[in-house]
Amino acid sequence: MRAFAVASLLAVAPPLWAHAFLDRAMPAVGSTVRDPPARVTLRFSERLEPAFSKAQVLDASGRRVDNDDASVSGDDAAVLSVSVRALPPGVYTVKWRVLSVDTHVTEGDFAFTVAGR
Amino acid sequence: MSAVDAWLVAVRAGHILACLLLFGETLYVRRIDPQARLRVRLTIGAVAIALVCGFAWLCIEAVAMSGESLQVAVLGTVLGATQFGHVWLARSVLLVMLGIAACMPRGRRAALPLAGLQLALLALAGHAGAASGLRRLAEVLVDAVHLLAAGGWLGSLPALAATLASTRSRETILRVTRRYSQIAYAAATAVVATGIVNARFRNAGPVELVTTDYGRLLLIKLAFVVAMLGLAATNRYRLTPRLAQPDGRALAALRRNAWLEIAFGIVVVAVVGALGITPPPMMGMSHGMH
Repeated sequence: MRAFAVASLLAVAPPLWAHAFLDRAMPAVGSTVRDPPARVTLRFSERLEPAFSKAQVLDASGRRVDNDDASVSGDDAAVLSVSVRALPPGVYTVKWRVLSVDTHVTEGDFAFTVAGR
Repeated sequence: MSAVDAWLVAVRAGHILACLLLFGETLYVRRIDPQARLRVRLTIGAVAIALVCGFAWLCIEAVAMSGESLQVAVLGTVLGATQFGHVWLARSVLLVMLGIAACMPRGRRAALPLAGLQLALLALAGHAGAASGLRRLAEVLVDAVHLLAAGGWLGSLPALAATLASTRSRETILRVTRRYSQIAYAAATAVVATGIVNARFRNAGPVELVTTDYGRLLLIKLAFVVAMLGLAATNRYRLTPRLAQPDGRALAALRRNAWLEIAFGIVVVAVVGALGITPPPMMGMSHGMH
């Protein structure tokens, strides 16, 4: 019975990336949103180390528009979010650098657009 | 590979080798040859190598994790706020306790459990420690068994080689090689079984073995493990039965094979040092990412 349990765990377990890759984001990568978001939320493929996982949001001129409060969710260690100021219409870049629990650093960036009403 | 990566591979391999040796040495004196005594200088030396390489590993990781230069504050954050740091601290304490236990005649009973625990906990510092939930428990357990089995097989070889080199009594050699053979057989079986499961956890199937950096490294490791298995089988099925013959050729071949197996084992652990910093294959991707 136990062998069966282990075997089925092996068969159905989702693959692990072992490096944290960006799984999805809110606002979505490359998307255009009508309402300016209050937070930018990034979900990764792996659990993160909060001490070394950061995200910044920059406006088109490269100025920081986040509140420098990026934090890993207490409920789900794969989710990193940062709050942003009131964003006027424009293109914004999110830069992230995260450390997965197995000590690998990954980084990247993506843009989203606030269209405004 | 950058110079820092090369150092990281070297200190990881040095650390892991010393930790395997510590477990194998303590297992040998407790379970394989009860007449042998723990080699105190060798044990202290291996503890020192494990601690020095372990500290270098911590420093390199701290720089990589933070993206900053090496500072006491960064080390403090790594030790206090990351899983790698917590595991590092616990294992370093165990290694120091092992060194102290080896120096005290009454402490030697504690040496085997201490050596086993510090080796098994290494599973939490690698790829296996990053999963979550049930999957994490399964991965860490499988990796811990893999490490302990490798320590039982490879780590006890130097003690066996020393016995083969120094013992004149044919009876002792027969008894010790038979006992070692039993334990190494079980350990090698466990190494291979847990190794296959580990490769599955890392998405390294037959295709990825050829198409990814991780897979190619794993193939090199596999080739040397197969060579070690070949030597072990020769020792067990050909040479050990001939030890009773008076010409001494089987014993000479056993001695040579033990050292050859150790040399292959060192290559295997060097590759393990590199595997730990190489991204495992991603499902559906044929190129390693860096």
